[in-house]
Amino acid sequence: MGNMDISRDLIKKAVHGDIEAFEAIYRATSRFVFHIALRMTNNRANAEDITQEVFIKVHKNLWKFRFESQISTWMYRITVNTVMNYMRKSPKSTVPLASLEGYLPDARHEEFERNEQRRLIGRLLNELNPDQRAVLVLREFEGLDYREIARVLKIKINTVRTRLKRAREKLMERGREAVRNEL
Amino acid sequence: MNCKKIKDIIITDYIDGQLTSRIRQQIDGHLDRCEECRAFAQKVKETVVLPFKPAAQPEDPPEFVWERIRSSVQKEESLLQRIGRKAARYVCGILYLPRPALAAVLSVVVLFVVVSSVQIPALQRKTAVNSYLSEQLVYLASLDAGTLNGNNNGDTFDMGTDIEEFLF
Repeated sequence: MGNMDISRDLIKKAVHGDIEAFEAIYRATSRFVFHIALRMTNNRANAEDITQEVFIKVHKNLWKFRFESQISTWMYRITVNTVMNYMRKSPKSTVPLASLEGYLPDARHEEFERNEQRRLIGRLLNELNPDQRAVLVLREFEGLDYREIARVLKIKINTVRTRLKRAREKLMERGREAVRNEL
Repeated sequence: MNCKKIKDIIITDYIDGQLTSRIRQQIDGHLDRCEECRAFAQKVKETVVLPFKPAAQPEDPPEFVWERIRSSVQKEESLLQRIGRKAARYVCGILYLPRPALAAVLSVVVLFVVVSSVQIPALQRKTAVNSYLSEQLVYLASLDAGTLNGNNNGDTFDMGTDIEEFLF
C-alpha cells in the first residue's frame, strides 16, 4: 500500500481549493477506488456512483486529514465504508452477472475469457456477506496484507484472518461446482 | 500441530504468504507427510486462489465520473469562497465531531441546562427568604429604635401588673 505519489504539498493545495491539485489526487487514486467499488458491488453503474460519492467525501474531508496515516489507508477506508453503506441502503443493487455482460463489449476471445472469469468471480463474491467481501477484495484484488487490511477496516488482525477463513470456506463450499463447470 | 490447525493456516496465512519461513517449512513438511492436508491445500488452490489470479486488472473509471465530481467540487468551492473557508470548516468541525466527543459536548450542555433549571427556583426561594428577613430586621430595628427613644407611639400599653414592672 504505497503513498501513490501524493505529496503533502499536493494535499494542502487541494485543501485550499486548488482544483488541479484535487484532480491530480483523483488521477492517482480513482483506479483503486473504482476497482474496489466494482468488485464489491459487481455492478458498473453502482461503482461509478460510489466513486463519485467517495471523491466528493474526500474533497469535503481532506482538510481533516492529519498525515498520521498514509493517504491511501485513509482513502481505502472511505471507499470501503461508502461501498458498505451503499450496499446497506440498496442491497439488491449488487446485480451478480447481468451488469457485467455489457462490461466488455469486445467479443474477442481473450476478452470473452476475461469476461467469463469476471462473471465467475462475481458469482463467487455474491455468496459472501459485505464484511467478508470487503476483506477478500482488499486481499485478492488490492494485495493488501493482513496488517494493512486491519488498519483500513479498523479491526484486529485475527478478525481479518477469521473473515478470510470463513469467506474462503464458503467459496470452497459454493464455488467448487461453479469452478469445475466454468473454468 | 494437528490437521485442523494446519488446514486453518493453509486457508489463510499459508496461501497469503503471511507466515514466517520457519512456520512455512513446518507446514510444508506436514504436507509432504499428510495426504489429507495435501488434498485440502490443492482444493484451496483450485477454488479460492486460482479464480482470482487472472482477474486483477484494475481500470480507470470513465471520464464522465470526474466531470461530475468536478462540477460538484466547483459548486462547493464557490460556496466556501462566499461564506469563508475557515468559518465553514469551523462549523463543520463542530458538526462532524467524533461521536464520543460530540456526546461529551452534548452531555455538558444538557448538564448545564439541568443544573440551571434546578438552581433557579432555589435561588428564587433564597431571595424570598432574604427579603422576608430584611423586612423583619427593619421592623425589629424600628421597634428597638422606638424603645430606645422612648417613643412608643401609643402602640404599647400596660395592664399595671407586678410582672410587667418586674420585666420592664
